Amino acid sequence: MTLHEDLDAYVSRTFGTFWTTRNGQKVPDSGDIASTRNDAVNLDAVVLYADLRDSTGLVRDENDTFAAEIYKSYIYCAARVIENRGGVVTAYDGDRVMGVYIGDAKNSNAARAALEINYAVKQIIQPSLEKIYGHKYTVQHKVGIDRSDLLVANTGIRGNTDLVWVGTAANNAAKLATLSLGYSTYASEKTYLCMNAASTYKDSETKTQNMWTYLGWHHGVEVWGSNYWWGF
Amino acid sequence: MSVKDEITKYAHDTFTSTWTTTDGRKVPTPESNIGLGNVATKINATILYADLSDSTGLVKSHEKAFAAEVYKTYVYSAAKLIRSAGGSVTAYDGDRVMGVFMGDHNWSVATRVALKIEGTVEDILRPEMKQGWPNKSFTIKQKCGIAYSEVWVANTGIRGNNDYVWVGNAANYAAKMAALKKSYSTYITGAIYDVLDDGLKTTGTGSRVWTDLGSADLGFRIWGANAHISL
Repeated sequence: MTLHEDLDAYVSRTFGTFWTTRNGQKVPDSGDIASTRNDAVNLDAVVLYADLRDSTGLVRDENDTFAAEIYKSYIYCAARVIENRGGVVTAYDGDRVMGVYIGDAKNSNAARAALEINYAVKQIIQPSLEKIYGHKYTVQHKVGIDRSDLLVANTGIRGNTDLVWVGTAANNAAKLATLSLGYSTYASEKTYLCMNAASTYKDSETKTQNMWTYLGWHHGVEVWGSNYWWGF
Repeated sequence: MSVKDEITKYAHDTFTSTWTTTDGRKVPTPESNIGLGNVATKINATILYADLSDSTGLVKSHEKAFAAEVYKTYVYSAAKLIRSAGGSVTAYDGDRVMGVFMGDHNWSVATRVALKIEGTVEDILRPEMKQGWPNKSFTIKQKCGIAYSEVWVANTGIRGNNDYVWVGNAANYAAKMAALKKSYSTYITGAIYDVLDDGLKTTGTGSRVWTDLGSADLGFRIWGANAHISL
């Protein structure tokens, strides 16, 4: 089969056949979804994107080794925190990590994970960096979270392991993670309104000291920002 | 060990250990087993980012099944074209694909792939989409960004020990170019344009393929093309 025939067959099959979909009880992995036909899983999910800020400047202006150490530390910390808070690390692309949360506490868990990633950056990565390098560089990052239905399908490139996550939460979370409004965490209003008191207020007993600030509409999304961190 | 202890140890080890680097002769794969410590493979490579345009609008304004078909066919086609030209599909994140090219004239090979991705969108994806969804007014559009540099490949060791970070200007520049909104479907850096094969600079009829877009957008010179190559 020529490349042209291969692409023709795949594309006409994809646009020409009906979908089989089912509701997911867990975040799917590639073994759960067929790549050879239009098979998909529906999820009501919160998507979290954690993104190292100004990685272009970091790579351009600093040593390769120094940049690689920051990339490695940030990606590793974000991925471990996402999983430790009950999320699944679903995609991973250079300097950013995508996590997915489902279940009753998904909004609260994703928000808490975001604030915990901020703690890891400010209280673990930065001090560790300064011990070796002094005050030469401040690691900055941003996390975006949003909730929506997601349709998860399998494209079947790279040994059947490549899922596409189709839903506004995936796009919005990635966009929120690139906002430059002076905050390290950005949550959509949809997510914010469903967080529990512990993920919303510094003092959750009295529901005072809201950790989040309303920032209005950005990229078509109502956004809340936070500069708090959550220690662990 | 608590997560805090584990992360602290990882950050400490990463910032204190010296690096072992080797020169890579081919693009590292999961089977390359790059070590988990401060170990990197250095390559000189061209990186191509292929990115579906306006996926946010696509998902917001259309049914998910339709959006998923566009995502699937675009990502599948881009990945196949990268591989069939000898490139490696190294990262893959929702609606975009990253390809890495090494070897002779890899900048020209990557550029030819980008023009073929555009050709495939125009010649195959759009007509097939029209057949499956005759009443949709949506037009599939995409953008590719291409840059060349030294790239350090290191392993973060999350998710089954094979998650590489690609640290080099080419990775950042290519991703940024693929996100430009200057109405071109392919963007290359000035450095690539300067060494690009002549056959990719002019069309069969002799007209110029590339437009000099200056360096105001990203801080380095870029060239844009709206040409395509059919399969």
